[in-house]
Amino acid sequence: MAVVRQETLTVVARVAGDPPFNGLRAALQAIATDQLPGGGTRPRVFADPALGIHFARLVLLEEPSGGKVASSLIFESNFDTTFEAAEQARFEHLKLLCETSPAPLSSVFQHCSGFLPDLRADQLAEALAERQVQASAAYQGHIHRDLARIRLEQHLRLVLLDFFAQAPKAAPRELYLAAREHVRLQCGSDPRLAGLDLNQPPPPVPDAAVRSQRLSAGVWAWIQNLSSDTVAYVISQLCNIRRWQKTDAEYDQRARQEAWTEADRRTFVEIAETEDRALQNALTHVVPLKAADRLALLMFSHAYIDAMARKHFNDIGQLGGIPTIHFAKWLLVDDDTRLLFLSNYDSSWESYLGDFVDRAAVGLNLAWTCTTEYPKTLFLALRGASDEERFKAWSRAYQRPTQVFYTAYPELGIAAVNNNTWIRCGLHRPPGAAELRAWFRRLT
Amino acid sequence: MTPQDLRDIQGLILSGYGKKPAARYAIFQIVDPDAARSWLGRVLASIQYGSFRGTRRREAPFLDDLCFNVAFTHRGFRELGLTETALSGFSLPFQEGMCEANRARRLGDDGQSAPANWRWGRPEQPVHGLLAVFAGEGDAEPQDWVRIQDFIRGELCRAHGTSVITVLDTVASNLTRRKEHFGFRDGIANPRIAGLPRQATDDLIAAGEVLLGQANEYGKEPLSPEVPAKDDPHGILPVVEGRSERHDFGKNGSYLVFRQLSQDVQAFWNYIEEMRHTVPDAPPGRVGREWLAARFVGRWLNGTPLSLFPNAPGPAIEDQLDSFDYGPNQDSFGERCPIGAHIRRTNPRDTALPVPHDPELSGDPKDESVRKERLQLTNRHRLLRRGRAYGPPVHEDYDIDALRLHPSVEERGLHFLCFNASLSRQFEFVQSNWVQNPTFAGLSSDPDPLLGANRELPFRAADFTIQGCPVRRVRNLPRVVETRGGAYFFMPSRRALEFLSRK
Repeated sequence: MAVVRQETLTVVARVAGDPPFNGLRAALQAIATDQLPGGGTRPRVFADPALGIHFARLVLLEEPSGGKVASSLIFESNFDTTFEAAEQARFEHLKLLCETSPAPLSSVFQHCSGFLPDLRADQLAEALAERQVQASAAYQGHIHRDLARIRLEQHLRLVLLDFFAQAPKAAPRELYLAAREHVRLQCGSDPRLAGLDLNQPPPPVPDAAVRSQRLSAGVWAWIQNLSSDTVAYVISQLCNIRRWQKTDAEYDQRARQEAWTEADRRTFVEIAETEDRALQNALTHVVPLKAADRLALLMFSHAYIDAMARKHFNDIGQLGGIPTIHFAKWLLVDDDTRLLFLSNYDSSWESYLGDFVDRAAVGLNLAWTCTTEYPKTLFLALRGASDEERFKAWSRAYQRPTQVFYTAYPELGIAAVNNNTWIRCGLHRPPGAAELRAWFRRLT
Repeated sequence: MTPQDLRDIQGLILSGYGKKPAARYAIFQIVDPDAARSWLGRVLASIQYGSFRGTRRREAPFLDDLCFNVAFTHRGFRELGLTETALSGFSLPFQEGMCEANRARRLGDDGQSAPANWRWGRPEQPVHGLLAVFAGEGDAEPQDWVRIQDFIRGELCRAHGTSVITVLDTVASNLTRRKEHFGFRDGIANPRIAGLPRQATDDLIAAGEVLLGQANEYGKEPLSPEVPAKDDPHGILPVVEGRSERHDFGKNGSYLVFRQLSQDVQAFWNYIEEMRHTVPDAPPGRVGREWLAARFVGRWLNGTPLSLFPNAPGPAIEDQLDSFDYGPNQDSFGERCPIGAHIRRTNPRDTALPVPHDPELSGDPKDESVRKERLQLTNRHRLLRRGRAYGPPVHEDYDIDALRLHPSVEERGLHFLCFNASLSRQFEFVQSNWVQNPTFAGLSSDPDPLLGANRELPFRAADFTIQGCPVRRVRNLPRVVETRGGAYFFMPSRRALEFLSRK
């Protein structure tokens, strides 16, 4: 049986004409407001279960006309796939999406250069595929679990909570066995538990032992994954790095804030309007690189982060020390002059950025140190994001409104997705005495 | 903090005036800026400042008969003619105000609590200032309230350039009981500002978590509104260190959150009574009602914490009510004090966030360094509470059967006041990420059982989970607290007030 995994794709298309792009804005608005019933932020265009989309977004990056970079329309999708090759997975996903919802997609992309208004679905998919940009670093918080499984495991948790709410007091082992039996019986009648067979081994999960090993590695993981090329390159750049950290300008929060225009304030409101509509939020952030001479250093940093994500963080379900990110990625755009960051995270912006500062400053410094006005770093990794107010103000200043945001499970955080999997595994494989206590504690 | 700072900081920031039983809050507008500035100049010397921290309790100003403090909203500062540079140096939440639509949604102010339904602080009737007045000693006397009312009437008038929007009453604070309307002992947990004289607690937060111009928990001074030196020719404001062309308007001032929260006491206790029967572990009768309500709050009615006394109330020894953490009581996983209990989510102490139930991910609760790190993370989101109850108690002894059975149409609740230096990282963070968030600390759909039930965002939720083996759960929490008014104020320093008055 083909193994389901998640893949991510990003399309960057140039918008034709000059701002304010009223037609495109109206088309985005139409997609954003055509929502599935039941709350959250679930535009219908991405909601067909066959698409397997976890998160998607459409963002207009509007730039002043006559400036160095052109305005663009970003489309991002994080989706389930059984195709092994990333390129094929992305193309098949685009094809399916264009076949499922050709009209809404055409309605926005027809405002972009090279998209004719009457493209057939396959032509539209081709045009989108051609405009893909590869991430320089990417992270996934719940590998191996497709939408159906995430939903099933959440429902299982609720079935267990309901069962225990009324269960007579008994020894833990008895309670566990009764719950297991209850679930086993429910599987036959509850369609939302369809496919759950507790007598079979659970489907693939991040191996518990591997996860423990990763978690206990701590800072060693960073050292172990440092390639000799990276070390050699950074050493060769030490003089430059020291010079840059002395001379680079950092974000001047006061000066910028005192100079806020009405347009700036409108942007803040526009961003706030799109936030906190569901448990998850989308962060769209784009910032110019400081100068072309930093590009190689940035690429090394990102390759390192990407390797860390693949070899280490994806198995744990947290990036750096942050356990609230579903998907995140960095991409170089506009001829490698700007760094685009797209992430899907739980809870508010303030809490997310607070986690950056409190738990993951080192990794973030590596990711962004080469970008304009980033708070001063020391040897690439230190300080930087630890300058709390300045870092948050810098982040907000380069953030863009996410006009269309889709989440498949607006009530489910990444911590719960991962926790639910361990709860489910505990039902497949009866835990030992010590594990049983830990299993009960997971039922919060 | 220097003695000069103490003379500069308004008193309410450093003390809730717990010994003064009577209080009223006058919410006002400025109708004549010149007259208002003159008035401010006249009352400047009579305002209570923090210098009492350096004097003995039997000396002035403790012996003063009546004390008061003033604060302004962003609109209020603008009315008073504060320079644009300073106005744009305040934080964005303060500039936009509590009733801004996106903010209201995030704070859970929807439905009945929506700003459009507020008694005061509505977008179309902007508030400019707050005059908070305190009086009395020991048990409150009716005369104390009369004196406060007379004072407000005399000070806030057209001749002084101001017009009262509303005067908010409080009920006498009673040191021996200090109950909030649901019947629980209140006002227990409150951090103290590090560096002040006379501290009797180890629950300290950096001064810059409350005051601008002081270092915060990150070792940085929060952004503070400044004025160009030329706009302060008399040199009233302190010069910004290293930038003599700027004077610091914000130093020793603090952002003040004011929310009028009504409480439906009968609905709360009726719900408890109804649900008590559905929880197999709840004892029968009245004891069971207190048992379940205590899970919601995290404390028994007498204030003793569940984490120390999980099965029955302990002795209410004043200085022991707040001296606990969860880890050392084998309560890292909510098996004594539920994870979603009100006091645990408003101050999680050493709870591992956001995943307490996974020690592999969040660290071993027995590891002291891990625990300290968690306390440090929590301390970046603390509030200095200064609120008082309003409206008559349903029952004078707060008997829980009477609270449930006595019908009462009068409104009652809490004037929630708190100080912080960062509205976004402190008050708004606590309100949206800890109080409203149904997935707080790994929960499924559990908002704060007192403050957060059935709010629209991030999604409608109304469950409460009692961790243990087995875990228990109650459903359909009602909304028992509604917002009736509110605003963000800034309580400036003495020097900033003097600067404003001389404009």
